[in-house]
Amino acid sequence: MNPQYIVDAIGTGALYSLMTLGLALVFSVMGLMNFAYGQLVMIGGFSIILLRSQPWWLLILGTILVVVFFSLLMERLAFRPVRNATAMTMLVTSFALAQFLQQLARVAFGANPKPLEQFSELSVQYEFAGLIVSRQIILTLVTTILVLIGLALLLRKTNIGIQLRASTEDVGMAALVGIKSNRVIAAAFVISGTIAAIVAILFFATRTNVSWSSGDSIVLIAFVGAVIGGLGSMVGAALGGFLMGFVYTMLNALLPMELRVFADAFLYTLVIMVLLIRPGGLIAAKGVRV
Amino acid sequence: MDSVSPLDVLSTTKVCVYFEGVKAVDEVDLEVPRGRITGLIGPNGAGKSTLFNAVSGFVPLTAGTVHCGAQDISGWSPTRIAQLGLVRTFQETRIFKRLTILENVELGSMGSGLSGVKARKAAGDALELLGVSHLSDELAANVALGDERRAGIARAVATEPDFLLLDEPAAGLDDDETAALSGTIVAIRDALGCGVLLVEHDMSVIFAICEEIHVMDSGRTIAVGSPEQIRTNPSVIEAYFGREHS
Repeated sequence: MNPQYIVDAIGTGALYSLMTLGLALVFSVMGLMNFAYGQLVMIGGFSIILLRSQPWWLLILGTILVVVFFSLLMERLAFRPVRNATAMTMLVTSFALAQFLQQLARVAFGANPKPLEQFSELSVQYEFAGLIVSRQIILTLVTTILVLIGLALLLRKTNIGIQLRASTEDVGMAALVGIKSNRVIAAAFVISGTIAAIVAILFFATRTNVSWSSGDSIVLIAFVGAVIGGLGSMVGAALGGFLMGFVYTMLNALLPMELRVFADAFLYTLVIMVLLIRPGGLIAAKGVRV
Repeated sequence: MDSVSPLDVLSTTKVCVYFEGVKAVDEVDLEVPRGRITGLIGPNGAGKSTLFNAVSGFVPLTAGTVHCGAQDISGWSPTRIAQLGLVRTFQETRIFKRLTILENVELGSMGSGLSGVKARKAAGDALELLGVSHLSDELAANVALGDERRAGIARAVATEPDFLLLDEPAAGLDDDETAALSGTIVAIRDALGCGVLLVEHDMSVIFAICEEIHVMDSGRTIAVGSPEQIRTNPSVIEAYFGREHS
């Protein structure tokens, strides 16, 4: 097997692991599977188009601020009013919100995909021991590692991190010891929004356009990654997302040409097999969380 | 009691809690002054747990009022009541298993408005008071029941409550642990000056540390008095042992 495939698969796995983390964090804190998460990434994509001519630091900062703003708006206007409703109500709310944001983007930017000027500086390639590694893969890997370390430090070492971890375990008890649920949940949406913005930057760096439907595939990957990793587990989410990306890339590389069109079918068959063996997911089944 | 201002008393007035017509608590008046330990006892089914839950907002009142000082807290949510300074513990502790003991207690101090180093110091002090500071860095899932229970109380203590409601803190503890816990509850009261309402089946704890004991049976108050008065009260003896012993 060509080791180059592994390099590419690790790059995709890292990106998918970030996608999954953002979704899993909000689920852990408030039991909400936010299917409008993909639309946050889509909003990030349109922000990049609008800020494309700006210096890179302004593009990154601006995209993060825009996505976090929408993430907070989502929490305040859509999810807070139904926070104490059933999980099904919250789920339907998130679907409705996803549709609303898609149609809003369609009205604002048109039905056709908007072209995105390529980031040529990211396509520069380096050769290490016969392996070709692009700047984009290095950037994705480094960013993912930094986000994971940052998230771990935030959850372990800060007041809001301890409150977040307590809320993921027993949100009712956390409120009883005086922890303000609104603050903790808003913090989860800020972190989730920041991750969605980073995902948008890394994802669209290799794309040529952004469309109103760009978030659809992302939320599906994140959802399935979170489920096979183990719902409620941050470590599981990162692992589940990584495996999704890794296996998908390997399938595309290793399947005979005539079967590659069925790569999705093979991937989701594997997902079903994992869930049949470990219904609670890879990590949650062992009881190891956050 | 005469020296205690009404502002420093947790009180219920004619509190009733009915479940589908069953009178679990029926017109109960209870007073818990700050700086004192009040016991709430009664045979199984007497209504003491229901009253305890009603005072802390976990069960809605059918009638009557609950006051914390001058504040009428009837109908308040448990969270709002806790933020006012009336904090309870649970029989099953409800400790956060995936957090360390120190982090668990830090949550209590954060809940009372402290942050950073101050929150950590307050948590450390509470753990010291409860005698479990050596377990600070242990994951809560890994400690013994007695230590878990102490950590649960430390978490409540770290909120610096005006009134501390302890729900059977000695359940599941051995004799030595129970004796040590009795001393700890007195130390908490002395350190914080808070009022303590203690629901406990273990009469050795109740009679050792309570200044006043409130006895319930079939949802009603049957006696209120000092440990000496309660020990010899015929109604209490009858409630616990039946009419032939009274």
